[in-house]
Amino acid sequence: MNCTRRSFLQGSLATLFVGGLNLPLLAASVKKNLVIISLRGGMDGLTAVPVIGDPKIKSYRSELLLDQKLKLNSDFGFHPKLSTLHKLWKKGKASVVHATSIPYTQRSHFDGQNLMETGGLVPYKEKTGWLGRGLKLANLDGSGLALTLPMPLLLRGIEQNNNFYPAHNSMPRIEIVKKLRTAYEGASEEKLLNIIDVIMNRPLTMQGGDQSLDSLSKKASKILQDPLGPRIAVFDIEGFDTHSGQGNDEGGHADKLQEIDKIIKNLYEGLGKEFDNTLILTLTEFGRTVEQNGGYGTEHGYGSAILMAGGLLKKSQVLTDWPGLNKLFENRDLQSTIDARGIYASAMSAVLDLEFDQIKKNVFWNSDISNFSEQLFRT
Amino acid sequence: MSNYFRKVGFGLSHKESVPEDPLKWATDQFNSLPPLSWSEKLPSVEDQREIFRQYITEKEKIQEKFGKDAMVYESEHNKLRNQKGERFFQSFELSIRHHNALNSGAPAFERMWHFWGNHFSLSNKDFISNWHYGPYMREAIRPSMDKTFEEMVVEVTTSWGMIHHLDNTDNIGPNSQDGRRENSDGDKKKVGLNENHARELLELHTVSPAANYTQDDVINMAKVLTGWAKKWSKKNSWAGPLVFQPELHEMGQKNILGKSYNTKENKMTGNKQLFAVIKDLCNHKSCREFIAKKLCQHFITDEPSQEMIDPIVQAWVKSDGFLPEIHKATMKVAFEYGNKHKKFLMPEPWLIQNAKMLNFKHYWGPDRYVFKPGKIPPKRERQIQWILEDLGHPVFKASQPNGFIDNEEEWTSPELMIRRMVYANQFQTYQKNIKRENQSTYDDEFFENIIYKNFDNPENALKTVFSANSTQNRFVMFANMPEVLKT
Repeated sequence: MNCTRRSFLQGSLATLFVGGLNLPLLAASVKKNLVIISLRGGMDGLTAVPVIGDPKIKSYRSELLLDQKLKLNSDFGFHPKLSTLHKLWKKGKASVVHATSIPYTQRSHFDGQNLMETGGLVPYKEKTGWLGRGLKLANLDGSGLALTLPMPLLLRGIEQNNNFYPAHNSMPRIEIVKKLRTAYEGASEEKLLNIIDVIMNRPLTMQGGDQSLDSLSKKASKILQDPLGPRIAVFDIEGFDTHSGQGNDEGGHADKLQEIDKIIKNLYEGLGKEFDNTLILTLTEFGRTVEQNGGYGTEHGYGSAILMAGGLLKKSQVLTDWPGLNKLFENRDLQSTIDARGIYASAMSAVLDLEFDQIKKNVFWNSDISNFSEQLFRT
Repeated sequence: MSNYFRKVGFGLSHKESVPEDPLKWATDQFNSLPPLSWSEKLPSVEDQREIFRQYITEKEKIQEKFGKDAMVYESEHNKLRNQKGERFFQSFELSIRHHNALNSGAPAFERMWHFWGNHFSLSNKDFISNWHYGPYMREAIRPSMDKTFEEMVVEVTTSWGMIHHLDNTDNIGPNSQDGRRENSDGDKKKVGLNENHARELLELHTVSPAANYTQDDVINMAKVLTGWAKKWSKKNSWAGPLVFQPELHEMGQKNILGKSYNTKENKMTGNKQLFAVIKDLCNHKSCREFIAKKLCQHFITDEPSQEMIDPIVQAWVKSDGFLPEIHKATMKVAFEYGNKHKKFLMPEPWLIQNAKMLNFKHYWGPDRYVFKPGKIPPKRERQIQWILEDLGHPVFKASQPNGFIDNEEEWTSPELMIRRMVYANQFQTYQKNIKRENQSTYDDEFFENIIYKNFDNPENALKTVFSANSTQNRFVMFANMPEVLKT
């Protein structure tokens, strides 16, 4: 296959490449995209999606209460920094799952993030990510793209994922890269060989730009528009671990929510009509304590919220089996009443055109997770 | 055994002779603390706390004064950053670290120093990477390498940097003298426990989750840690010195991993209680296994076998946790198993190895580094910081308290591999930081010299390097061939 429109990252721009990739055949239907934003450190669901209808919140966190809320319904609002998301809500293109978490209650970032990405129940046991396994099941080699420097665990489990996070200097000449490939081949270094093939087949869109979330999300919307390009994009936002200075309308958590909103805004504006074939979904390892701690912050908790946007949503809604604030998990955390993995599986089912039961069986080891596809997504 | 010099060190330079007994060469390096090869006076933790104090207090004033006008604030803030060295100290400290790695004469010891710095990582909170990480490495980690693991844990746990980045100043006993007073005042915010430091002390620094501690253990650990806090004062704001403050300490009995502290029989309380708990944590079986495994993972392979771990655990038990013995045992295991197992190098050791073998210098030496308050440091001075950032391994800026993950999976994504090619492509230009008389002529003999010294399969490596013609391209081939990526 002669991919004349594919050329090599900054490596003498005129050099063209003969691609060795087997691109997946596009299904007869449209290309659907899934964008994951990993919120590392533990997002406070009660700050992102404040509960209006439960006055008990005031007794727990007087310093963290929001002055302004973007109203969603009689019970919930958005944090004022989530203004794009609110705009999309009014268009029927934003949703929330509240009081949800992966089934992990030990409150360690590292174990929690590991399980958030593997979808497993025992930290470090699984070596692949749920999305990687889902893509494998859908036979979508090479369709994952991480907008991060390390490859997130979430995407592992499938060959030839890409990541894009532009460097400041130029690549060696292409002849040299080919020679390296020969050396890897000679040494039977399968893994290195795979990577160098991915590198050699990078599309033109994966060049230039800088490392800010603003630039990366603009870039991602271009790359996702490519009918032959990746269907999956994964972003990372760190810094949700606000043990102190969490703030309310402004502050540590507000700044982070603004970054989520910025990514969503850029994708909405950049993807154009493809936004209708896209689903954006946030992950986090756990929520935060309902009660504020001594430093105007919160501790590691349990239940949090999932934010979603995109035209693949059925409608705007807050999906929740609200546990209330009277009975907290271990007397401190918002309870989780929905296993977040059920949402992840339903989202994959909607985007990758796979049966939910197939995903449940092959990606989540037949765990007891519920199917929300009908409720949440356009089919 | 030529691979061994790269496996536990940074390889041999073209000028170095090959040690006759590689294992002895490695273990001898742990007989005493090698002095730092950077002779100029270096800033201490206290020096840097003071300059950091000035930075944050003056920043608050600027915020108050110019906060409403973003442009003015930005420019005033930049002036302050340059005045207090916010752009200077990180690259300065990284240069010290790399200069030392290449020149201390004890490369295996330096690798081990870096290992502990990452094990007891300070994540990059509140600019800690700029002012504090270097002094922390020199004062808390390095001198402890000649002591027991327990002493190292005490040193680290009560260090300013660890207390700061794990929020232990916010960890206040609700029933302590101050806690009761604060909480009885209805108008004031309530104070209470903060579990962050407690959790990491158990999970990352000592026993690991394998010890099966419970949430109750974590809460009790947090109570033990109360009182270890930065001393607040109006002048110091939150950059005060670290002092044990009994008025913040939660009194009473605490139970951790089945042991009780401060019971009727043993009255250990206050600051002594932490030392007693740390002693027990360090003598816990899970702690030895966890650390021994991590050492094997760093030097030998991502998946060490129990046979590799056991001799290190035995050395630990026999020496009562004396680190030089643990380090020597690690060297021995790496020697015995190193031939059969390969370890994919993280970017920093990879960079230093290339600098050593290819004789380039990607940083400025002691002769050129001078802090000039108020001046923006020259780009070439800051280069080392940017190289490490671009390679994905800014060693003083870990995003989480578990530091950088030391396995192949973490470092073999396309973009990270691109970075290695991109920087290998630059390596030749870093020669200009070396005095002319010490520069190399990169003829065939040069490559033969370093490859015969450092590789067990020199023929293959030579073939790969010589498949390119120019020096620049030979550097790219050298640095990215499997034999150099994996030791």
